[in-house]
Amino acid sequence: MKPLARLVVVVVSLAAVATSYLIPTSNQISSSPASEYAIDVNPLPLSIVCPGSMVEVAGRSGVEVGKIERVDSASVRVQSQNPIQAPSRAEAFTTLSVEGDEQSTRLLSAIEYQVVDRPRASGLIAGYCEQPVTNGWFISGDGGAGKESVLIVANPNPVDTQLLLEIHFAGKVITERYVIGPVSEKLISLAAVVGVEPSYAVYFESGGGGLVAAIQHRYSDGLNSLGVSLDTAVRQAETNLWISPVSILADGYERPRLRLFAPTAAADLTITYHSRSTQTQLVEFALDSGELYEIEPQLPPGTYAIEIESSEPVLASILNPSLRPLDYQWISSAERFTSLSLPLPSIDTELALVNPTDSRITINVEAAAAEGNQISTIELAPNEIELLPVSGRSVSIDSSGEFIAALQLISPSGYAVINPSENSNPGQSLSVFVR
Amino acid sequence: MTVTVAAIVVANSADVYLSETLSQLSKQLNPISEVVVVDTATSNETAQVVSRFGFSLIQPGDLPLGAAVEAGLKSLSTRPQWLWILHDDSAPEPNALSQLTKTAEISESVAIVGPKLLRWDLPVEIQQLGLTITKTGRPFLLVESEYDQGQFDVRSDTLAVSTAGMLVSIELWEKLGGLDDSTPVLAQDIEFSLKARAAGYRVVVEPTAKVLHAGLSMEGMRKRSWLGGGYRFAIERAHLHLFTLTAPGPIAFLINLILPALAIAQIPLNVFNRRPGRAAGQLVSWLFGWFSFPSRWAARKRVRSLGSLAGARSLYATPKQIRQKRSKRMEFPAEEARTARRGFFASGAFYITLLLPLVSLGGFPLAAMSNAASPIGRSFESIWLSTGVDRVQFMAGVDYPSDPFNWFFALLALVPTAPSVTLNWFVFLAGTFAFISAWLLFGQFTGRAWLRNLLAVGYALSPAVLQLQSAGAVVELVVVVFTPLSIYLLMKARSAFNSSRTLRWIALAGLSMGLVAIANPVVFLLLGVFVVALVLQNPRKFYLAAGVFPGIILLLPWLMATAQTNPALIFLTSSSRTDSADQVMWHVIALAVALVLAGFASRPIPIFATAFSLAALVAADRALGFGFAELSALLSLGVLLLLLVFVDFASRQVKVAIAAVVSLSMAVSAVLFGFMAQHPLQVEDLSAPALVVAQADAESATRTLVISFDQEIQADLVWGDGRSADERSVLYSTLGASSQIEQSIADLTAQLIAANPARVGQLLSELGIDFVLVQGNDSTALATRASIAGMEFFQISGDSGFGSLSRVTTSVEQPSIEIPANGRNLQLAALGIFLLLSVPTPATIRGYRRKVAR
Repeated sequence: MKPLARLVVVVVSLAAVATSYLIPTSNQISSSPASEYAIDVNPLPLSIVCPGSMVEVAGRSGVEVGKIERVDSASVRVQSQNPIQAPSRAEAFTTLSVEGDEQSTRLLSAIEYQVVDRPRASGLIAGYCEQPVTNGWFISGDGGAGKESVLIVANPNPVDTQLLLEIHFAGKVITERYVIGPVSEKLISLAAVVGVEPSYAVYFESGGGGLVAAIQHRYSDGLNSLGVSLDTAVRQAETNLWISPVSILADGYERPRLRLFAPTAAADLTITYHSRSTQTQLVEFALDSGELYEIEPQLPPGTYAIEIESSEPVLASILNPSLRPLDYQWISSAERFTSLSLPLPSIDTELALVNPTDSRITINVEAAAAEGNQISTIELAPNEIELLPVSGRSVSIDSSGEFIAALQLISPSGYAVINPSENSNPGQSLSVFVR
Repeated sequence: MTVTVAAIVVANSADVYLSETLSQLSKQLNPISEVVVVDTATSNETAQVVSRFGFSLIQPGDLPLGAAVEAGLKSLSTRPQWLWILHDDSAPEPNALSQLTKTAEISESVAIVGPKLLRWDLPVEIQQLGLTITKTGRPFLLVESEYDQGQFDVRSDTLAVSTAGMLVSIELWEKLGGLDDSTPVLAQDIEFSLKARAAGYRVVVEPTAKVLHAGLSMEGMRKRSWLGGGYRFAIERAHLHLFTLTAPGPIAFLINLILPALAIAQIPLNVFNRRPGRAAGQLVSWLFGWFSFPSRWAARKRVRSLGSLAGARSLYATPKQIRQKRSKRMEFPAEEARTARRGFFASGAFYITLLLPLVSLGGFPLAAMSNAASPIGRSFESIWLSTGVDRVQFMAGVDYPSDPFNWFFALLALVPTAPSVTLNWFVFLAGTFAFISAWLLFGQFTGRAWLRNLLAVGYALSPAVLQLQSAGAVVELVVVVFTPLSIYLLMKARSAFNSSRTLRWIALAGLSMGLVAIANPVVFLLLGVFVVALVLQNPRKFYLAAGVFPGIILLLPWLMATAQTNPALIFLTSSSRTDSADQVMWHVIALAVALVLAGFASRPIPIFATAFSLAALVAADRALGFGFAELSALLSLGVLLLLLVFVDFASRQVKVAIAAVVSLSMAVSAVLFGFMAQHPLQVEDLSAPALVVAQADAESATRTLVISFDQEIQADLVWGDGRSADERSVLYSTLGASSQIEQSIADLTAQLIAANPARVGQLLSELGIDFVLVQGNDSTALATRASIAGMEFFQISGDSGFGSLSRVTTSVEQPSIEIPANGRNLQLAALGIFLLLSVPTPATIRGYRRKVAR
């Protein structure tokens, strides 16, 4: 074959191949979307459970081995649209239930609080009465000298269930199982499970119906009590967390300790401390999978909202000390609301409001008291935090955008923060995709 | 004593054959009292030819042979003692008649004498030397296609002789009433001779009397009506007629009664014997024969009325003669080896096949793969339920054809091991299979064993093939293995020298292309273009086109369904395709380099064919946007093929350099993409929790409601023992389909999530749900599990990797859904025919051992 003919063969072939590759790619085939059905089902009656009064391990003297019991009683405050029979004080866990189709905190919402003044424990414990859940996390487990953590698990269901407990620490996992009878509770001293491990995360899961779980902490220095705290469960790890309000109450004495945990995968985190009075601080670091990490942010006095952005779902909680009054409080990540109703305790309370969005929001706060309702409106810039003293029976909050709210209780007896969560059963406007 | 002979030539056309016949007739040494040409075509040309020789001519019109001879006989001016019948294509040698008449004078009992018929175009070859039949009545030539070296020149009695050149006593002719035109043409001469035998006369063949015979009827050069149809039809009719005449009465009656069934039963045998055409002829003629049984039975009576045929049976073809004849058909002179091409063992290829699996040892098959293509159904029965069917197993049954690729799963399921494990073995050995098919293909272009081995290994160890293997990409690997094999088989079919081998190669190519078709119709389409090119190159090989038949028949329901919905889906035949990184650009660059190198060789056809077929493939891939993962592997094959073209042309130094580069590339690729590759996780071949599987084994109507919470609440109704890879559907996943039970499924799911037991029992019963499986571990999933656990309709059955299972304790209505498979029998029949044709027989094996250049 002549050279020219060869050249033609090669050039034509190359042109064919090149042309074919340059054809623009199209993607004509895509999966058919599943059929979507919006279903309305009558939800179950809304039930919430208050965890009950303080638990004392080893008795009043602290030397009665194996003894673990409730002491005194906690005050219960309830807010409901419908009439409800609720005790004003409770020792064991208390179940509150009302019927209603449109379920939210407006239908039913409750808190409990207790001033503790025992030889080995003092301070204020307070918590939100939550809906039973089938699983949840705590990362506030503390152990070692002067630290005691007790897990309170209540089964409000009429059938027994199996509780699966996983204790995560230093890359290890301890698994325990307990059976909790119908309408009964289990008080578990975590020191018996974990030993002297200084910090750990706790995952719980029910093999049956939902449970309500809380961890009660007690801190002491020898025979001197330093404080108590009640920590309610976080339902799941998230990639965007807000912890609020973190008020610096022990400046120069002890810093807050922010604890982080990545339960599934290593994560890159950015932590931002938002405050109205101080400049925003920003910290970035990486967290290994299964690692419990603690940092002690050096924050000037003020009140902060801590925002945590993560590449993978993480859990975060902060132990905030108070010097006057001497107490501690574990504050976990908070939920976002557009509407919220909360009963108020009969001690000094501030409502902490945070705007976690990128736009300015307007919030209407209506406090209901015997002498009448008091309405106030505030505007929050993005990431702004505001503390609002509130009093009365209850408070209703409505907003033009998403907000985060918590109650900060400070009294001479102690310091506590109540983190509310949404109360509703699935049923209305359930969107089901059928494939 | 001198006998008087009149010759009657039955002419059907005026051509060179008639002129030669009459010319030779005019040169006979033995006197002929009268020659009459009976022109059945009534042609002026015939009249002119006949007039040149001064013979008598009659033109009685379009008469069959017997009537034509009879007409000629009547036109004779005197009554001869013997009648010499000739066809217009039978030219006797000058002494033919004298030799025939001499034989006729041997004995008064000799009434029919036949000559030795030689091929017109090759007079040294005997065409016919007497006729007989087999025990079943099939016409049988005692000597056929033998070189005439005088080895058969012994005068002997025979059962029958052909009417071409037959010398027959006029007395016998008249006694028997001549040839019976109601008899099938190819049985006329044998029936006439049988009658003579029955009447006590002898039929003798005289080898020294030679007649050149063109055999225009047999060659298909006469109009079809002359034979009463095609040759195969005519021979089958003759067979049937002679069987009825010669077989014992009860047997003849019984066989005639069950003729159609017999013809159908014989089809597989004919296909297996590479005589599919005979099957059609048999079927048509035997159906015809069923309705014409009375006339045949009458013919039997007429023959038997003349006397017994017992004496004639000794002249039937013996089993030894039949065997010898079959054997001779396959004997050809040995051909000189054109190349010193070494085989699979001698070239060392066999040892390479033993070593190649080591590269993918990390994926050694111990269980089922866990990926898009696996696990498949746990038994052949399970996979068969989703192969070639017209309804897929979703909701209450959706009228879409199942994915065509399921045929491959069904094929693997025939292996008596767990189908998913067999599938894993296929993936594990795919590199070896790819090597073998590439080795076979490259052998069509080069005789150098080292080059063939090197490039075939290069294909098996190319990054593209190894990546597909490590990903367990079954669909893509089928294309990778069977595309080069299909090309090889087509090339072999084109160059095969006998019909048996050609049919076998076509059948193998058809089956191989069928697998390519169900995996990637675009590649199948290109193979079809290749077939067309082969046919255009040699139109006599038009039957190569039959190779595309299995692929078309397997895709037909798919084509019909997708043409009505989304035509692009024609090319997406499996739900088990693997997503892969787009590496086409690198392969296109490599192809361009290989094209430039191959340009130095003077072989434009392989270059053009490779470049344009791959360009078409790339273009189709980009236009369709499917991202065929096997495209890179096929581009690698093209690159290696072009390198082969180049290396064959290049100097020794360049050869060494190319070999070094390919070897190094192979080693790097084997390490990176073979030894270090991550293989799919190997799991038990379950697609649902063991409890569901166990119940599905006992009750096929088992249904499981699967609820999952991936961003949104999803509900799915799964049939039987879970949704294995073969039970997924391209059409359902892309087109969707509304179902009347969707609303009920959504309602039930919502009730379960909301823990509201109202209507749950009723919905479970209506939908026939036996299990509820909740997938996921988030709080919603756990809450749903808890709500199900609290309902009276369920019994908790435990957690597994599939999720949390609950068994329905209340009684439910078992759904009864039919899965139609209307076209599957047709597809099976087509595959069966090709499978039978592909089975090796003595004809193909002997043909292989005795090569011949034609």
